[in-house]
Amino acid sequence: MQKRETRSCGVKKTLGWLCLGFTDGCSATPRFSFVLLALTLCACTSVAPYQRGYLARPDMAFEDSPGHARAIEKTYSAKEAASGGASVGGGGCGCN
Amino acid sequence: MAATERGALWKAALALPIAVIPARAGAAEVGEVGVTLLGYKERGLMKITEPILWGQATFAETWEVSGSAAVDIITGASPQLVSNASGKPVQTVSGASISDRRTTWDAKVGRRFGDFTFSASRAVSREEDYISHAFGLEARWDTNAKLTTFTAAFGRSNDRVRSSDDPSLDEHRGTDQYLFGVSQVISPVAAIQSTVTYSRGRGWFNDPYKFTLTFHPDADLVIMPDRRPSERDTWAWITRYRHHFAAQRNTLQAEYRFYHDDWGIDAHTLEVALHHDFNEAFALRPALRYYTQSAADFYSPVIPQPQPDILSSDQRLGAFGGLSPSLRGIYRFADGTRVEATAGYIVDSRSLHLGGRGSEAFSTLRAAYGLVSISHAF
Repeated sequence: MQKRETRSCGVKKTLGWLCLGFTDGCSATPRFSFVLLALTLCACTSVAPYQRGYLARPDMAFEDSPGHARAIEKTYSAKEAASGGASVGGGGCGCN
Repeated sequence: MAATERGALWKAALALPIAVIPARAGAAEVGEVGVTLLGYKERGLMKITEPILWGQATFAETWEVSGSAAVDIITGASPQLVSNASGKPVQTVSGASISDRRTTWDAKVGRRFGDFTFSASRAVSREEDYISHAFGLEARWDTNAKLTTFTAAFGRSNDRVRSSDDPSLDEHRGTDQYLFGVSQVISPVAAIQSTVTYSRGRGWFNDPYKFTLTFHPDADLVIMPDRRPSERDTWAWITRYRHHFAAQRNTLQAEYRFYHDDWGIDAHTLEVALHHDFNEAFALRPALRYYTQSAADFYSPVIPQPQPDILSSDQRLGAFGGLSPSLRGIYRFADGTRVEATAGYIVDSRSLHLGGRGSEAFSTLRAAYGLVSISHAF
């Protein structure tokens, strides 16, 4: 477990997260920690509500439309060893 | 951008946590329903047709509901055996055409409490030889004036693995998943999301339809069914980036996933797409996806001597790479109806493996797919 406190713009952020390392001894922890730190530092950016019009565009969304996302994910996961990562709680399949 | 559309987008922007909800926030102020049809065809192998019904809505500004239902209709031949009868290991497909049908549905309900949103989800998938029941719990925290969102989630699936060829087979596989993610608005035109998922699976991972057949020059013919470890721990780390270029009417959509599991597989997936608005109604989205993976520790297209307890010749566990270009067209009607059509091509080959040639027995896969989706925001 590691804990890191960063200064932010009006919001006190204490980042405590599980040791997000891989089975070879937390080798990914520094990389993921770096991304988290970078994202937290980005929080110092101020974007007023009236400046958020472009951010609400459908093509700025992280998730694709549900139908497309589902079909594409299934298509690739049936042929590749790697799958998922963006959500949890989905059902599996035989995928022979 | 039309004044009415701009007003709707700003309203969505002011009301919703930008970094996460907007699965389609700009398009749907209250809700959206849609139907998607997938057609997928592999050269010489499987053909899949999948109609999907889906919808999502927000009620009383605090309740979020979404769900989908789909049917997979699968026909064609499936890789079944890897044999070195011809001198080198080659994949052969099932002689008879396979026909299968999979029905699946999922539902998710969430409620907002100030800056926090808690959700529960349920998913069920059924096919003749595989049944999966899953659920998920998710907590989301919007902070920093809704510019930063933290997400934590837990999911569990309980699966039954059966076989059309062996009625006595009825095995269990259980998987727990843990997710932690951060979404961050970087500027008025850029946002980033990074998510890590850890999955812990226990139970039956063998594929009951796959075998390895090996001729040894100085020994008898050896045949071995697919045998995999009974445990699988996986890590997947996805980072997504969005950047809108207003003057050019382009949006860059980039995504990278690093995957690692304790079977010895490391995989990298990179996808880059460019959404371009030609006018208020029509847009095109060309995309290119690259995928590469290393082989599992127990992957082998031939059975060595002495024979190991665990071995699989399933080429999905081998080393290979893949390229997938696609093109999507999007047309938006003034009444909130949206039509999307995507055409894509997939080629998986050992020569596309990052850092050198992949597994020798990998048989190149070529597939094409088409997706048509019609949705309506209300």
